[in-house]
Amino acid sequence: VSEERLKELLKHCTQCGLCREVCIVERLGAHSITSFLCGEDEYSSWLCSSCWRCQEVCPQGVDIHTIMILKRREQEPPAGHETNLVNIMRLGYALPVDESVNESRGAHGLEPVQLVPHQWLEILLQE
Amino acid sequence: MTKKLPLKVAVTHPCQAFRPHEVTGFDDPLEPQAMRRIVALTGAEVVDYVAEHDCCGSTLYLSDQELGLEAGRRKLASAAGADLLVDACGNCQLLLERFRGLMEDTARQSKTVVLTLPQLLGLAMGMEAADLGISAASARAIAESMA
Repeated sequence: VSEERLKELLKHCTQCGLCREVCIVERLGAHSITSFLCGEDEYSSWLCSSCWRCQEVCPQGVDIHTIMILKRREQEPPAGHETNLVNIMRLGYALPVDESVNESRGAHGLEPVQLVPHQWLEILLQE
Repeated sequence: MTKKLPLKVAVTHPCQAFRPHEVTGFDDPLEPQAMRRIVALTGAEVVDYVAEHDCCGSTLYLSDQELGLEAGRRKLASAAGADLLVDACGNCQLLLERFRGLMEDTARQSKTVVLTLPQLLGLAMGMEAADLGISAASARAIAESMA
């Protein structure tokens, strides 16, 4: 994470704690990016549910979601996210959507959907 | 709508439809009303519950299964006074309906039926529960609530 970028994003944060107040993760007793914003060291940015409620309530207009994404780059992703990444590389979808979806649709008299064509996957996977 | 549904409905709002507000420009990002208005059109009574505006927790399931299920359990427990809990998002549906069996007893045994918005609208339009993908057990519970 570029320290400078982070510093800029945090410039207007007053640590009022309103973000943590509305955070579902904090309510459940775990700690996510709102704990980081309140100055805590114990948190995982990967526990954020991306509901954006914190950002909507922030009286200072801090871009919390971008801070969370930056922090994710420094913290090891959980296995579930790794699996999704592998699925995306293989099929173009985070969930395993393959030919079986169309077989299942066909059984209910539904038109097949177009699965992600291979050339799109190549674009998606370009560095 | 062809049929009034005498039901108490708790709604869980689809966060991605109205947040971030500066992108979607839709509804109120902290106290959304659109879904409440649609449900009210069916003749159902929209009931308030404490966890109404809480995230369902489905995306947490990917990072920490127990945490995701606990979020869902709390939502279901909070909405227990309603006949139905209605969602309007594939992810909410996944957690609150399909993963309900993985939650501890209180959520599993709660009598509140979970439907997704088009299913509720289908019922109000006079469609059959089976044609809407509503299980026989849920259809029976709904019929009992309306009786």
